Amino acid sequence: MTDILKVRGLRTHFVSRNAVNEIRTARALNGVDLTLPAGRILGVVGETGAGKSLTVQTILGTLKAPAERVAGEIELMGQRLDTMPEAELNRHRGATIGLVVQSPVTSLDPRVRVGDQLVRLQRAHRDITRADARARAIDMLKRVGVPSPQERMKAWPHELSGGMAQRVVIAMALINDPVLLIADEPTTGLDVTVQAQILDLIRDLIAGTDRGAIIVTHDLGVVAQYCEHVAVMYSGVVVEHGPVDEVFVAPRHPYTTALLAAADLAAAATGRRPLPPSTPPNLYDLPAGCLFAPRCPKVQAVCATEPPAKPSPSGQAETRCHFA
Amino acid sequence: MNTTGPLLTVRDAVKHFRGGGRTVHALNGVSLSIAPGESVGLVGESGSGKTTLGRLILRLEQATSGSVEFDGHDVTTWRESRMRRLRPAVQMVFQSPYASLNPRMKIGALIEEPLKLHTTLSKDDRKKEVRALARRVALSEVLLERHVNQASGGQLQRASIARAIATRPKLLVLDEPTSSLDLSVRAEILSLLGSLKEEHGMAMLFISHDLDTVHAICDRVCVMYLGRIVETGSREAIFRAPLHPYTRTLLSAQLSADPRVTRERLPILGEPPSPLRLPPGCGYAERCPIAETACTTKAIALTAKADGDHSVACIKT
Repeated sequence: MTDILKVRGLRTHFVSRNAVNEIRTARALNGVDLTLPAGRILGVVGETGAGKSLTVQTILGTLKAPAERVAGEIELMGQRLDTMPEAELNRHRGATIGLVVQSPVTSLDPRVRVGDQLVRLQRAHRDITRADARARAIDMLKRVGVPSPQERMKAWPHELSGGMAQRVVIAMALINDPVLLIADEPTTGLDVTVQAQILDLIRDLIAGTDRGAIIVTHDLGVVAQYCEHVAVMYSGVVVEHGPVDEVFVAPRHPYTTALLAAADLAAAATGRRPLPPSTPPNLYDLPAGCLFAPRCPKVQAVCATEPPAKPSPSGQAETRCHFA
Repeated sequence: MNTTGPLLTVRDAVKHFRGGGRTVHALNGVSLSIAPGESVGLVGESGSGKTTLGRLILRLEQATSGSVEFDGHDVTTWRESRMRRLRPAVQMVFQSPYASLNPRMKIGALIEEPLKLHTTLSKDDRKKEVRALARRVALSEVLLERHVNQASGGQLQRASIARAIATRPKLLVLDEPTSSLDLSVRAEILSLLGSLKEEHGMAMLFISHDLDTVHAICDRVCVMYLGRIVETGSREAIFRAPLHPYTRTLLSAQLSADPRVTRERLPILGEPPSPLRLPPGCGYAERCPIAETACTTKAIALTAKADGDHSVACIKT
């Protein structure tokens, strides 16, 4: 099986100056490794600030100052994205790479009718007549479950419901046959029934094809039910990754265990606490050893001084912990 | 004061929003009662009327028709000045603490505000009480001197809860209090609410579209669709033996975090009807897999099932 995307040792820092003009570095990504095989959906989970969305932005090369990628390799179908000139990278964005972000309202141009946006996007990336582009757009809207697609082509973005707008965004992401679909919180804020429809759609478009998708989410249910692989992020590193059936059933990293325990809300309501209520590490001053050590219930002396070995990026479940 | 009857009774509440020549039928005849100390979950999707019902109970909205009774008083037509005396007894926690807390005030002052308005405590006693409340919701004292923009979402939601329980309300209405929070923080807030419920015997109306959250904290559940309650019953009845086709679909769309659990997914047809033009019969009929002609012609009332504690508005069950 070929790998669609390989990410190695991604490090992204925010460099700024404080009030007395000293340089401060927030180390937001601290060596992210990801592998996405063809025909699979990879779930990236973690809490706010774990670096999930930043990983996506770093892969797409859309970081804005003061964020900066300081190390790491990104390979899409054997092509290095990290060393690619901006103009060439731009030909991939919206074409070989499709992106779905959390808020459909902000990713559609409010001044342009739905149909025109779909036509423009095709004509920006390929040699296609307006009529053919229109026909493909209608076909794509039908595939993503938009009722009466011909009429919806004329709709303005503000006329669409949240679920319908997200379908249009997915149609935009897919219209140029991307090899890689990246969906950053694609269903957050949508109702559960709409969520199920959108996720079914993504699964149907990926399973058994030579495409792949990454779903970034904080919803463990989305990962458990729709992804084959999962990468659990904490403080800018992947602390555990592997097949969902293994990682979610028998987690090895103490953070994964705590995260899964937190999903058991019934236990929480009766007073069992999954995580010590402390804040995630200060990115300006990260611990020398394991980044999770200050919160870890199984912490030992070595954890404070030695960073645990990097998980080798094979398909097997791997974890970044001295004791897993 | 009423001691044996329900704390809150909503009867046949209707709320229409008019504007631009159109009428949004937000609530279409909702009846609900909450006993003292009981926690009731209100679930349903966007636009089902959950939030409108919550706001109506707090009299933040005026009902188009129907009545709201609190603690034996019919408060439906009370003026704001009279309502104010009731406010300490009914408090609300909103979805977004960023939108509901004044960004110019320090967190300590925000928690103190209801004490200033509704109690006769001296300044020193108020400060003492604020510190006690902060301890109760596990909010560090350092944070009391901070502003809203200097605290995290979880810390602010704790502050909102401290503020809401400051006057020891009999009823707390919570509108999606955890939906903007991370899982571990959500678990902490639910743990806090669970213990508050036990200690203070406070009744809660918990509005949420997240069934897991409602399952964790509520004794009884009401399922709303298109401005009506379509099913209500004990937590066990709703989660173990749902009757209404909409409740079943909603539960089947819930994603388990355990990859070994695969629920049979019921198909979801189309989109909900527009609240601008209500269908004459059951609001769910056009999406319902088992609907028949009778479902589309006449309105269907909530009817009690055999055990009495479980009611459903469906002629096919």
